[in-house]
Amino acid sequence: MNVIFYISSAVAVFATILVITRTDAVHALLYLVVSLLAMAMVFFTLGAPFAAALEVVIYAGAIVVLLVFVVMMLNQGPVSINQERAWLTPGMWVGPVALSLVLLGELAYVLVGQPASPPVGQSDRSDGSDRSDRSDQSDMSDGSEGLRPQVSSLQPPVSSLPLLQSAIRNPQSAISQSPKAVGLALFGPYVIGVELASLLLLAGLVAAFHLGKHEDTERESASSPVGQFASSPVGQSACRPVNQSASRPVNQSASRPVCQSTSLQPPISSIRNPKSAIPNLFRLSPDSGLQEKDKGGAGK
Amino acid sequence: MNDLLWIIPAAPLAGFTALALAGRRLPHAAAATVGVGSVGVSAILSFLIGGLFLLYPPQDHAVIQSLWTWMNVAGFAPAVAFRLDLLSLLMILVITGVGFLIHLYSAEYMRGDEAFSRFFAYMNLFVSMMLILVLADNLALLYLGWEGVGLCSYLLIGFWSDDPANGAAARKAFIVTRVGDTAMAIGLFLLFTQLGTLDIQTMMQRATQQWPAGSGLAVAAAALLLIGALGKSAQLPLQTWLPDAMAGPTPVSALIHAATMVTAGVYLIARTNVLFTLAPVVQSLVAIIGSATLLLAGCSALVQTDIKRVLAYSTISQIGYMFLALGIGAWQAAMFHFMTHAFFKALLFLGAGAVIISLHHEQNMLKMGGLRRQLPVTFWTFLIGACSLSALPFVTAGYYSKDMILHEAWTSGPAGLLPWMAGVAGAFLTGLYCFRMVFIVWFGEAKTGATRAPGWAIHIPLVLLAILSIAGGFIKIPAMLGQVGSDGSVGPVGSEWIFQITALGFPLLGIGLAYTLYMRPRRLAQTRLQRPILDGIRRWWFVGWGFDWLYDRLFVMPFLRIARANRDDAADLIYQGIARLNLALHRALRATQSGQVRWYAAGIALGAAIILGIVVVT
Amino acid sequence: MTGIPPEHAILLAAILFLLGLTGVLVRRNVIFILMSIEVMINAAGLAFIVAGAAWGQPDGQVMFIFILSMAAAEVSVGLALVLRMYHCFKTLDADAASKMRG
Repeated sequence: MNVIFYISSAVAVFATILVITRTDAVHALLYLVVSLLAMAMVFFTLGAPFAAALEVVIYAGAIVVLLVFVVMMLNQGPVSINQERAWLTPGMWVGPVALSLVLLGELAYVLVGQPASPPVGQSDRSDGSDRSDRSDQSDMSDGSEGLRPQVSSLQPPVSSLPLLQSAIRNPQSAISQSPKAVGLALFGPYVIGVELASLLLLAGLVAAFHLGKHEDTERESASSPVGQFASSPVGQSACRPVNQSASRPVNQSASRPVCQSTSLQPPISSIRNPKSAIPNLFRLSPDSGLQEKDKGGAGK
Repeated sequence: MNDLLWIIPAAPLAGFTALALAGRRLPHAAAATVGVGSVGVSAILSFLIGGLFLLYPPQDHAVIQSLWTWMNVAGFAPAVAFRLDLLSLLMILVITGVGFLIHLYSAEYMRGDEAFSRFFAYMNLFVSMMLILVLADNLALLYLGWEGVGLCSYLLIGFWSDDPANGAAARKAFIVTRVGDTAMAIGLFLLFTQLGTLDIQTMMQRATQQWPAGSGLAVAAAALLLIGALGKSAQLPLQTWLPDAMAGPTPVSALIHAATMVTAGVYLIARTNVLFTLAPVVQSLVAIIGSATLLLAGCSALVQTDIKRVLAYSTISQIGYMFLALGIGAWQAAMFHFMTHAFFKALLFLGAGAVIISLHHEQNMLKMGGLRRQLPVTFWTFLIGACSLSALPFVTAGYYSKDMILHEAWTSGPAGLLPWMAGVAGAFLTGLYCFRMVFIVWFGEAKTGATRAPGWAIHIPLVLLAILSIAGGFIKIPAMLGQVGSDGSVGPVGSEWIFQITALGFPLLGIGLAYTLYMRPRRLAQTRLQRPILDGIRRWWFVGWGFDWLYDRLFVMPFLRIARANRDDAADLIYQGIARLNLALHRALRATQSGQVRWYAAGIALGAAIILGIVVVT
Repeated sequence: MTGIPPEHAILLAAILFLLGLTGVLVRRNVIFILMSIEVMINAAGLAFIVAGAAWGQPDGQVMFIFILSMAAAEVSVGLALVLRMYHCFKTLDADAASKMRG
C-alpha cells in the first residue's frame, strides 16, 4: 500500500507541475485530470474509498469537464498558445518559485520538523471518546489501545502533531472508512452542513445562470432602471427566461433535485429586483464589452 | 490743569484716527481743519500747562501723570505715564509750536494733492508719537514713540510712492535707523536685566548706586543707547539716510528732519545723562562724533546743488553741535541750541519749500537766481533764518546758542579744546555754505521765474518763525552777565568776552568769503575754483564723503550675494524634503495598488510566509 | 495496511498546495489561474482526508465532500465570470482588469 501511495503521489506532483507549465489550455486540463486521478489513488491508499470515488466523479468528471467546455467555447486556438508562450518567460518564475519554496520550508518545519511533545496519552484518547455525541463508530469504541506510542525502526521524524502520530499508529485507523460510515456521519451530526452545502450550490446555480445570460435578451426587455447606467438606452433587467441552454454551462447537481436545473424561471422572486439582491459587480449592461466606461468589473 | 497732560499727545492721535478712518470722504478743507486743529489744541494746552508750570513750579520740578499699566510680565511692568519737567516742557513747546506752524503751512503747500488727508493723518501720527517720546516716563514708552516716529518718517518720506526713488529713500532711512534702533533695544534689555526697571528716574538712581563710574556695564549700556541716538539723529556713521530723505515733501523735511525727529537722539542722551556721566569714555565719544560730523557735513553742504540737500547737510552739522555739547556735559547748551535750531531750520526749510512750489518744484539751486524781487516776504524771512544759522552776532538766536556751546567747550578743560576748535571751524563753514545758498538763490540774475505767489498760510508761519529766530535767544541775555549752570548756580563771567569775539569773527569770515566767491561782481567761484583737484574734492564731498559707496561695498553687496546664493532657500529644503519624502512614499505605496489579481495573491502568499516565519522563529 | 506516515501525506498536500499557489502567481490566463486554484482546493481536501485517516473517522471524508461541493459552486460561478470578462475585455489576460475604477 505504501508503495502505491508514494508512486501515486509522485505522479500527482509531476502532473501538477506539468499543469502549471503548459501553454496549451487543453493540455494543461488533461494533465490536471491525470493529477486528480493520481490523487484519487492516494485517497484510496489512505483508506478513503468514497472520497476517491467522489474525486474522480465530481472533480475530474465534472469540474474539469466544465473547464474543458469553457476553453472550447472560447476557442482561442493558436492565438492563446502564442500569448502564453510570450507570457511565460523564465524570469516570471523566479519570484513565485522563491516564495513557494520559502513557504514550503516553513510548512515542512511546522508540520514535520519539530520534536514532538511526549504523547499526551489518556487525555487525548479520552477527548476522542468524549465526543460520544457523534455517531458511534465501531472503530472508535476502544479507548486505551492507542495510547502507547509505537516504536519502529523506520520511524520518520517525530511529528509535532502527536495526535496524528498516535492516531495513525493505531491499527484501527488503518481500516478504511466505508461509504456507509460516511453516509451515517453526513446525515447524522453533519446534516446541517449538508443543508448549507445545498444552499451554496443553489446560490452558485443562480449566480451562474444570471451571469451567463446572453446580451440579446436584455435589449428587448424593459428594465427596472439602474441609476448609474442610465446612459445606456436599455437598462438592465431582472432575470428573464431566455433560451440559455446553449450558452449555459451544465450545472453540477451532486446533491440537487434534477428539476431545478431545467427550470427557466428563477425560483426566488427577489431576483426580479436585482438592485437589492445582487451587488453592482454582477450587473449586466447591453454593450458592456464595447464601452470604455464599463471597465472595472466582470459583470457590471 | 496738569490732569490734562495726556491730551497733549492724545489730540493729534485722535486727529490721526479720524483722518485715517474717514479722511478720504472729507473735503480737503475739513481734513486740513482736523489735522491742523488737533496740533493746535496740543499747542494751546502745552502753552497753558507750561505757563502754569513755570509760574508755579511743582514739587521736585516734575509732574507725573500715570494713566495705566501697559503690561505686567514677569516683573516687567511699564506704565503709560507722562512726565513733565523742564526738559520735556521745552520739547513739547517746540514740537507743538513749530509743528502747528508747519501744519498750517502744509495746508497750502499740499493743496491740490489728492492724498491730502493721508498726509495730515501721517503728520498727526508723527506729532503724537513724538510727544509720547518726549513725555514718556519710562524707556519702554519712549521706545514706543521712538519706533512710531521712525514709522512715520518712512511713511512720509515715501509719501509720493509713484516714484520708486522715493520708496527707496524711505527704505534707506528706515533701515539705517533700524540699526540704531536694534542697538537701543539691546541697551534697554541690558538696563532692564541689570537694574530691574525701565522707569527713567528710578533707573538712573539705581545705576549710580550699583555701577561704579566707568564700569563695563555702564559703558555698554551708554554705548548702545548712543548708537540708537546716532541712528535717529543722523550722526556719523549712520548719517547717510538724511540727505536722501529730502525726497519727501518739504513740510516733512521741515518737521521731521529738521526740527523734531532728528533731535530725538539729543533728547535721549539729555534724558539719560546720568548714564553717560557714569561712562566718561562714551561721553567723550559723543563729543568726538559730534565734532567730526559737523565738519564733515559742513564740507558736504558746501558743494551741493539741491537746495534741500544743503539744508539736510546743514541739519546734520547742527546736530553735530548738539552732540558736541552733550559730549562735554553742557546739557543746557545742547537743549538751547536744539530750540533755536528748530526755529531757524524749520524757517529755512519752509522758505525753501515756498521757493520750490513757486518755481513749480524746481529744486536745483543753479537754476534759481534773483528771486528776492519776486518773492519778497520769503526772501526776508529766509535771510533772517540764514543769519540765525550762521550765528550772526547779537541779533539772532542762533548766535546765543552756538556761543553758549563754544563757551562751554572752552571752559571744560583740555578735553574740550578739540571740540572747540571743531566748533569754530564749523561756524566758519556754516557761514560759508549758508550764504553761498543765499547768494545763489536770491541774488544774481533770474534764471527761472516765480509763477505762483504763496498765500497767507505760507507767509504767516514764515514770519512767526522769523520772529522766533531773532527773539528766541534773548532769554539768554540775563545769563550773559552770569553763567548759569545746569543746577542754577552762578559762575565767573569775565573770560567770556574774549571768546565771544572769536565766536563773532569766524562766521563773519565765512559770510565774507561767500560774498567774494558767489556775488555778482566777482564770481570767483566761476573762475578760480575750477581746478581738477578741487573738482575731485568737490565730487567727493558731493556724495557725502563716500559713505554710501562704503556701505554699499561693505554691507549691501555681500548681502545681495548671499541672498542670490540662497536663491533656492536652503532653509526651505527641510520642508521641501518632507514634501518630497511624502511624494516618494506615496509613489512607492501606489505601486502596491496595481489592480492586478496576481499581485494581490502574491501579497497574500508573502503575508502568509511572514506570519509562518514568525511562528517558526519563536 | 501499515500506516502511511501522516507527515508524508501532509507534506504531499503542502507540496501540491504550493504548486497551485505558484501557478496562480505565475500564469496570466484566467483559465489557468482557475485551474491552479482547483489544485489548491484539492490539496486542502487531501489534508482533511489525511486527518480523517489518522483518526480513523469518516469526518475527514465528510469535510472533503463539503470542500468538493464548494469547489463545484466556485468553479461554475468563476467560469461564468470568465465568460463575462471575455465579453468585456476580449482577452483572457488577468491583468486587463486592473483599472480599479468605476
